[in-house]
Amino acid sequence: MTGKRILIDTSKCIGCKACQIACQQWHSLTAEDTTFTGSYTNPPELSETNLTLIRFIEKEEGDNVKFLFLTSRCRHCQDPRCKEACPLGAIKKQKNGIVRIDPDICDPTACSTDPLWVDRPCQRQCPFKDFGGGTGIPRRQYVKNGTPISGKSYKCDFCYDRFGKAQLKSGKFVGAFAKSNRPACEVTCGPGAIKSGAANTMMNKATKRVKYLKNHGYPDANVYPNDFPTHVIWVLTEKPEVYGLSSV
Amino acid sequence: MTSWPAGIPGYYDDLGNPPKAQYINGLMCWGQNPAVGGPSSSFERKSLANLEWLVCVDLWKTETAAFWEPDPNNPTDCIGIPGRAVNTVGTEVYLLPAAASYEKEGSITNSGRWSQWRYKALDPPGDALDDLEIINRLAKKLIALYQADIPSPLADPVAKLYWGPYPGVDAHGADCRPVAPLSSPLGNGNGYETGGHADPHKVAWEYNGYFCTNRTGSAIIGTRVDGFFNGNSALGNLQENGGTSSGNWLYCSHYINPIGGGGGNTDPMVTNGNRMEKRSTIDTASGIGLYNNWSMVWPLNRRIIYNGASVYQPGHPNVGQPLAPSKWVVAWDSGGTAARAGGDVADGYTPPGGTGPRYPFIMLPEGVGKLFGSGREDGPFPEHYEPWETVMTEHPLTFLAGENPRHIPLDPVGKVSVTSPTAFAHARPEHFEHPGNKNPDFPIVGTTYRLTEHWQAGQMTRNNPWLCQLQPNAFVELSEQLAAILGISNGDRLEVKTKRTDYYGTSYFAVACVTKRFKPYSIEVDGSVDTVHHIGTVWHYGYTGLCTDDSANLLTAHIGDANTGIPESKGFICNIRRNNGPLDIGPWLT
Repeated sequence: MTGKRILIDTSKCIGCKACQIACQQWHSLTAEDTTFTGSYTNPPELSETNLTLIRFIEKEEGDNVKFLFLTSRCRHCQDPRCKEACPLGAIKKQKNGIVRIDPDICDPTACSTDPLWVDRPCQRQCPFKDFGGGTGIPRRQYVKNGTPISGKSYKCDFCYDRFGKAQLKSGKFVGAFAKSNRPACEVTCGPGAIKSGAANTMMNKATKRVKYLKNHGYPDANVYPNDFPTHVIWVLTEKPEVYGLSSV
Repeated sequence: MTSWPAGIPGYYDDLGNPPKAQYINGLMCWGQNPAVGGPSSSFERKSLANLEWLVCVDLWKTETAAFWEPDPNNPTDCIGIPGRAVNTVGTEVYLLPAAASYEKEGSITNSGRWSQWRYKALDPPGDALDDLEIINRLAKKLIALYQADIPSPLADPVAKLYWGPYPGVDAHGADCRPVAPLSSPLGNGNGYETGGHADPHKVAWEYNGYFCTNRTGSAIIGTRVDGFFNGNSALGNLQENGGTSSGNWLYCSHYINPIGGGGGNTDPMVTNGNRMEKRSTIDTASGIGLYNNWSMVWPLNRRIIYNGASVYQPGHPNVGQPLAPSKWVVAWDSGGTAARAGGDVADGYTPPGGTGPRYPFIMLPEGVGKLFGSGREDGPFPEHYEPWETVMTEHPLTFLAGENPRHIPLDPVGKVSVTSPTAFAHARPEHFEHPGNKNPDFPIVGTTYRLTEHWQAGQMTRNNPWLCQLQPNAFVELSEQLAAILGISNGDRLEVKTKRTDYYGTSYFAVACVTKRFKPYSIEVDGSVDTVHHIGTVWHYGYTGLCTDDSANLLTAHIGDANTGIPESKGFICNIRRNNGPLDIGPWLT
């Protein structure tokens, strides 16, 4: 695979949610209204103003309890079905693999009048429906002052606008970026669980890490998704289904 | 934040209505929020109303500053003190807007003794001022007021406080400070100010110390001292003859002479002599993380105190060699006489033939470490004690008083105290009687903790909408087993009670978080094995800011460590029930 890739290593994540805030800060997204409903996962779902979200999962193994943290977000598919589905052509795939929605073109009134949560072609065609009641990843709704607000579709854009002029021009990954030219979530991640770089380098890194983890107490470690090429990948310490993830 | 030192005699207190003069009647609360962060916060809030005046210096209106405001649900009562009418509070409350860390310049010393300089990025908003300027203005005003008052020995400590060379103020050192050159922090007639504003560099200079008199040699009046050790033998160091001045000997060597500015030693890494600005990321010595040239460490840039203990002592054939060569901190080669480059500033080792301390523990008369630690309140040996409030009635590890000489027998059989007999506990009715009596009303063990999403008492984070979004409410974590017994579902509203909430009539409410991470456990109590349930809750919340809720410090007790008074309020006994409103209240645990 060419282009960029983000690698999220769940074995290093400490669940601090700094990536959630860094994402909102860089994208100037408003805070949602939330209440504590019995889980550390908050807001409870990805939304128009929360493009990345840490899910907290408890897994019991005999007398041991594992507290798992999964940063979930758009996978930036190599072959993005949302792009094909958008009747307006608002979803674009850059040469470097970044899939982004152009808010100037996205117009929800043009593709759907259905007021329900799952209504837009980009959501319907998204292959990753593990969370959010079966909704695909692009989200268009959040809650403010007690009222659900609905707008354009939003999702992770890989912080494409942090890469600098040269990157935007060439449209592909060249060499190492300055630290500040990396995605906001990566820059803020204290334990270094989020890394970005050339797609193949990141995959090699993930494979190497999984091999290490398998020999160090995590026999189920794996690279996810393993059957669908994407520009965001995870190193999971448990099988995907433990996190509520399924294969595509 | 630190605890309210509630046990200190003379501390403000609500017990027995003593004459106010015996108690502290004014309080300056500087970046602290005891109404949320103090243990037994109902007591803290109630006591605030006993003050004549209260000054809060903070970025936002804290719960402490707002304790007297009308409760929106019951406007005649104070929001911080249920049952206390607003119009009966006589406390005059001031709120001074402060500057955030990036809105002021100065040093900050961490608990590893690293004194790091940091810089101002932008001006604070509106009328907000940095701490140093607030202190400067207050000090100048107070000094002027005391000087205008009738002279008395009691007034002298303030009236004659030296605050820069104000005419007539200089009480100690007529031979010294007024003649300091203009280049010194004291020579320009503006006290600690530059351009009408308190200057952290002048304060750093004062702390570091400087020469007050000319000496034979190169040192001249006003130049900065290099350090404090061996005061009379080294030319640039603090003198014990009155020839130098220093605000705090620990910081001697932190703000030394600038390069080209005259005076004694300089540091090639910082041209202005401010060694707290050093930022080398090179880890010298053996790579164990000394970072000798990142910032400055008191005393004398000694990163690890008593580091002389890491080498063979005089008398050993390998004298001066590190005990662990791959992790060396300091080392002396050539028979223990030549210090190896790149190591830490030596502490407590003197090469053979030298003078001065030879043994590593320079602050102890023996010079060596001790297993028998005399001088501690709770005994010469480490001992486990249960928290002040506990479900245990017997010490779980030590059964007879004779097994530990400091244990105090509590009954004729010689049973030992289950909790620390010397703990720092103010005798107040909302505490359990010492020692930890088991109380059937409170069968559950409780503890409090913090979240990554919120900072301390919450002013910095509960005023940030993003962080409120992440953790909007106080919650109680409990096991699935306890939830099943009490009919509690995830997300229910819970009521928690302790002796404090009973005494002050302020229940603690929070959301239930039923989790696999809490489990009941078995312990032996009174000879029989009991199942003990354990809950945990967070204390960041209060009644001001964007997300408000109860502080778990409504539950905790004012208990401190026997030697230092450091809060040990995080363990307590309690009871919980479901309370989703008057129509949906569950049972307490029995």
